[in-house]
Amino acid sequence: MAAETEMEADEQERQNLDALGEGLIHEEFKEADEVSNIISTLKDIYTDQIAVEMALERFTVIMDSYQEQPHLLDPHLEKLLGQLIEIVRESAVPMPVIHLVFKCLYLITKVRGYKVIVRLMPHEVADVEPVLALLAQQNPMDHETWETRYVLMIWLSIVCMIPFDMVRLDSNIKTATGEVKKPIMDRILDVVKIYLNVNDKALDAAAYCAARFMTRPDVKKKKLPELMDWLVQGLVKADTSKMQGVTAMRGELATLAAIFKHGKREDVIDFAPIVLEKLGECNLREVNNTILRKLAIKIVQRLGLTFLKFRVAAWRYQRGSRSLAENLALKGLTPAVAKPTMVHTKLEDDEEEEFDIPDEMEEVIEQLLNGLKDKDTIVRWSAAKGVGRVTGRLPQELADEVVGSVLELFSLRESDAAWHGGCLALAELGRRGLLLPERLSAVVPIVLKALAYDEKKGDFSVGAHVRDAACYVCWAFARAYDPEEIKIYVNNIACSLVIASVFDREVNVRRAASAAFQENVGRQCTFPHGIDILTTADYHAVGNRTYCYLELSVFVAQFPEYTKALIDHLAQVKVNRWDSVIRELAAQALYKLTPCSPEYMANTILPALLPQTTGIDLNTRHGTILAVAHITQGLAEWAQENGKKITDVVDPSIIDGLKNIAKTLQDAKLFRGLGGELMRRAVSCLIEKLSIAKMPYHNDTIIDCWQEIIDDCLRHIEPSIQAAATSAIPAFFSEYHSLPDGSPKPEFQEKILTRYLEELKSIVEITRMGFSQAIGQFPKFMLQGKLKPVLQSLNHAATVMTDKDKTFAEARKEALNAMTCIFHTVGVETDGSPHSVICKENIHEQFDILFVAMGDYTLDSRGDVGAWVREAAMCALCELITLTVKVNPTLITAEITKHLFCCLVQQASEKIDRTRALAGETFMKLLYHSPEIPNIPHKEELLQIFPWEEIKGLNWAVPSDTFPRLTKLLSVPVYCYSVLLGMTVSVGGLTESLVKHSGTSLIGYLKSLSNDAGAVQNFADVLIKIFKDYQKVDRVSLPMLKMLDQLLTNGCFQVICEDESNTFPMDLLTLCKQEISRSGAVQKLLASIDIFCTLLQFSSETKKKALIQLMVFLCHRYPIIRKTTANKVYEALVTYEEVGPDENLDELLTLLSETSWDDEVEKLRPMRNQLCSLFNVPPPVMKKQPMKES
Amino acid sequence: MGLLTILKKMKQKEKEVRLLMLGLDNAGKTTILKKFNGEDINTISPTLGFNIKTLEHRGFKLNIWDVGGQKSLRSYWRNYFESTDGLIWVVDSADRRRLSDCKEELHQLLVEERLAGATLLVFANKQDLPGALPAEEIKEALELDLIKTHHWLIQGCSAVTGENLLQGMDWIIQDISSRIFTMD
Repeated sequence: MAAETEMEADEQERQNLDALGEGLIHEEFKEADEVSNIISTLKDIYTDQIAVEMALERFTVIMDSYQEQPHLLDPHLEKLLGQLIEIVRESAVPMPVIHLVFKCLYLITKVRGYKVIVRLMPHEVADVEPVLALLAQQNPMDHETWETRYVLMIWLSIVCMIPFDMVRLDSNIKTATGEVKKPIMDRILDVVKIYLNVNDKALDAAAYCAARFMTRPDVKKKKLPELMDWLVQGLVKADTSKMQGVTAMRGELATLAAIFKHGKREDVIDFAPIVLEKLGECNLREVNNTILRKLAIKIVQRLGLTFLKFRVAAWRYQRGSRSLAENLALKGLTPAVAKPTMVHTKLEDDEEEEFDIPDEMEEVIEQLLNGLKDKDTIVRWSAAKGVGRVTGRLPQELADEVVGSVLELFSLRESDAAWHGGCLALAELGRRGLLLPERLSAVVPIVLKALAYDEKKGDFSVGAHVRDAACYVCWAFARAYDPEEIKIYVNNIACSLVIASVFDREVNVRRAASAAFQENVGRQCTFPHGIDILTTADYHAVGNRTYCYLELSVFVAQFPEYTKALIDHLAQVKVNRWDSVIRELAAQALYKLTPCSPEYMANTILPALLPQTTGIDLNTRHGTILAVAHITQGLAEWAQENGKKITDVVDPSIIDGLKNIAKTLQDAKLFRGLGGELMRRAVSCLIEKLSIAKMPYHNDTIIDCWQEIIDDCLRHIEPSIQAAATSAIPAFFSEYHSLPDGSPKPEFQEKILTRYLEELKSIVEITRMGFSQAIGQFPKFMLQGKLKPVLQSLNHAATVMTDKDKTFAEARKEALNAMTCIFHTVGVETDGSPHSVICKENIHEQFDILFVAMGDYTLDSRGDVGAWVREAAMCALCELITLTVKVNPTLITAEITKHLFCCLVQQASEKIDRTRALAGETFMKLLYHSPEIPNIPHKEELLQIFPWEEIKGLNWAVPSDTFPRLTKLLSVPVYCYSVLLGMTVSVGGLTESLVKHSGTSLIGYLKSLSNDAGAVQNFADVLIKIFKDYQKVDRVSLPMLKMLDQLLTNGCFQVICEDESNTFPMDLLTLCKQEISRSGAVQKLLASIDIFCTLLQFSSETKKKALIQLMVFLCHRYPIIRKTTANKVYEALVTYEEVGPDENLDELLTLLSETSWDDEVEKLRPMRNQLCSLFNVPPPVMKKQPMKES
Repeated sequence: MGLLTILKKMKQKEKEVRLLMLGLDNAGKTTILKKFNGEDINTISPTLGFNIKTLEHRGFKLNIWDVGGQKSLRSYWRNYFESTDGLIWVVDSADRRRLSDCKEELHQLLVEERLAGATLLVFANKQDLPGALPAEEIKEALELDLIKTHHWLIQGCSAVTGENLLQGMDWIIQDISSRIFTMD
């Protein structure tokens, strides 16, 4: 749980509970017939492995769905079992069928439970031999058929109970070999003993079978001492350091536990002392195996119950008459009698105390108490049940001692396991009425302590299970006791439960606490403001931790009974927890709670927290610094609302103390190292909050110290620290760097700007990012008169790329983000001064810079990191244009709008989903902007293609939704180039869905033009232009080749290529050749092969040139190129007509397919030249550069 | 094995049933509960609150939740440990004027998914008063026949005389137990 995030835990929790609640969905066993059919086919399908698997799979699915409501199977069980058993009973059934049958029987048993199934198994005298015979045929080690052995053993456990003397079944007839058959009783015991030593589920069944068998009067007499002896001997001998020993011991322990459970007290009591003694010798507490420890505890419990006679403790606590029928029968005549009175009966005659308690009980109880401390939950739970049951049979004094011992578990020396076990035991005792009200005064404080249990272990802590169990105790107590008994503890319990339900770190504890609170309100009726709280902080509401801390806490704190407890808990416990998220939430919650009790915060909490802010423990320092920061802000706001100043509500020593925190930490060098990161964040927050609180530190030297810390944080490598410092800047600068008239302190402004702008040129990317963010946060007065240099520096940082910083995409992104913020801060004024605002003088330069940034396609090992820059540039453009249009639309020239919209549609057609989404949304925002953006080219068409009603819900990141619309823009000449440029990258991209949807849209669009040669020609021209413009720019040209291949193979240009004189194919060919010249990029070469081959379908001139190029490829230095070319040419020969002279076709095909193109180029050249002559093209000649073809 | 598993097992072993008692105000919910509990029914004022009572009947442990006069009931439907197994909807059979309100409230409640599967018992209470509508007519008025998502039964009764209360409880327990418990 600790490692999981809240969300995940929450989700999982929800699912768990839903499985619990809504899992109960069946009304009846609907599939009864289907199951029956499956069973009847078993005999026919057993040889067909697939059919068998399918049948079993289906059987399992059906059965498993009834795991939560197994009783629904009951009406059908007899029939199903009968059907299955019948198959087994048939003679000469092959063993695989038998195994199948038993697999089905097992699946039913698993769902319904063996106790129910066993009663329905046939158990007549006639069954004894077959079952034993079947068991004898089994191989106890076969891991594939364990179900058979398990179910047989279960079956045996009822068969062996036939009510006849076993001896009468034994025959004296000799077998073929002349031996007398062993008596049945011995045979049963033998087989059971075998299975007590196997490493699978059959062992459990064997233990059960053994115990049942031993309850037979005849067997008991003859065999029980012998078996007990065997078991105890085995126990002592077993070596638990080996697997075999563990298995053997598990069998023996399980049998003993079962014998003491099923056996009659008088039959087994004689064995009890010796078993207890031997069990003690085995020292099972030290064994590592959980099951063994659990079984041991179980036996101890049963031994305890064997030593003590059954009785209901007369002294137990009872709460009123609870029988519905009896109460209704009263007819309301005698209310006085019916009133629930405390029947805390203590029989006057103490004769009940007379019976003696065996000495062994001491050992039993000690072991049970030890079991409560076990490291595993199941052992603790078993021990807790044991404590409850055994205590119920003890006389009052002894029982009270047990309670006392349980309470001793709650000591700081004990482990979390002991606390958990203790809680389980308390709940168990409370439930049974064994925890008398007199004990509550001792028990309640302990439970409350457990409710807040949290032990630090390294850098996390344990205790959620203890707190959860403590909630359970509170819940159980609410049911167990009369309100009168609980009354005096109500306030404490209520506070603790409320604290747990709003402030616990874990969602399960919060929910458990809220449930316990609810139960208490409903049953005790004395919890202050119970209903208000439980209906607000209910199961659903406490699911979200942030909501708990920041909203629910405020709601609860309005009730005076809870206010102080909540504040104290946060200030004393939560602010120094190990989880930094909790500390931060606690600090924010304290801020929210400040108005509930400002005096208490100012006079008690702040003075208590202040010394801890510079203490030794890192977590405490972090938490308390945040806490005092938030509380001070809260107090300042409260003071202001009440017409006071912070200095009126907080003691001067506190004001001084708050001031000195940063300095003290700096002097102690606490900003260094790992802990330094937390300190930096905390102090940045402190500076921010104290600035908001307008603390009287103006002109104090601390301001320089703070400035230094902030600058240092901005340089820090950790983005979260930069962010913390950045968010402190507005408040800090406004409060301490400005003059009362709102203008900057001149020396400060100059100094800071010079330094910050200088940092934008840093050779460290992260530093640039930090300071860009900081500059973005500058309040308006800091930019007053200095806008020019600031923008210049940012422009530089955003667009200028040198060798040193060309990969600094993130720094450029932050510079652009800062620009966006500054546009917003200073605003636009047409005739304003370029030193202070955006105006007609500087606006065009800014647009230009942003358009440059729109072309940032920086690549690094992370991929297209330029996308971040383009996204930031889009945001900046959007901000600038929307600000401007509101002030003076004429500042926006037609050129700007056109450029902007072209950029946006291009980005909206490119391959990164996130970028596309942002571009699309910006595009829509500006298209439908009010006031209208002037000069949008072809606005009407845009509005038609992107009607608001259809587009407003569109997810631009989904290729299948966006591309069909974007392709329509291709018909608008202004946008054609941009859209096609963007789409080239998508259609020729790598992502399957993207390629598919963008490609289909594009081809669909072109097909729709098929009759319009002019339109296709226009498209082709744009295509050629893009290809030319981006010649050798791999980002575009490689996808271009891939896209061209798709378009050509789909015959998209058929209509223009019918005209032989059209230059399009030739242009393409030329461009392709140029693209691959001197290129060693395999991907590109491979893509070009496809293009050359598709060009083979065109006019003779194009075809010839393409062939020549392909012939060159056949002797390319890369074997993969040679092989691929041969394949593709072969395909082209088969696909297109008249590629080569018809008469040579067969020879060409043979030569292409039979030549091994992996061979040395020298050997291949003759074949290639032969191909050339067959094709009627001149063979390529070696050029001057030797590398071209060798 | 977590605490949740343990609790679930315990609910099975102890045969616990969680019932929510609802209805318009003055329907007689608290009177019924007091009657169940064998308490004096002569002093009852409008409830604004929340009461859980545990009663034993036919080997089952009934936890009856009486939520009176509260606006939001969401908090009671389900918590950490338990979900609601059954609803007891109490109607004032003599209050003809508010029967349509009563119908709407009931049908609104039943669409709540957290109550899916819960058994519904409608107590047509106050049959001892003159002018009380018989259960059959209440059934029509509440359009109970439209309810397909829940098992339901309407039972005329009187909290004051105790008439038919037991019959209603017998039915709801039988219905719930067949759904959620393993019978031995």
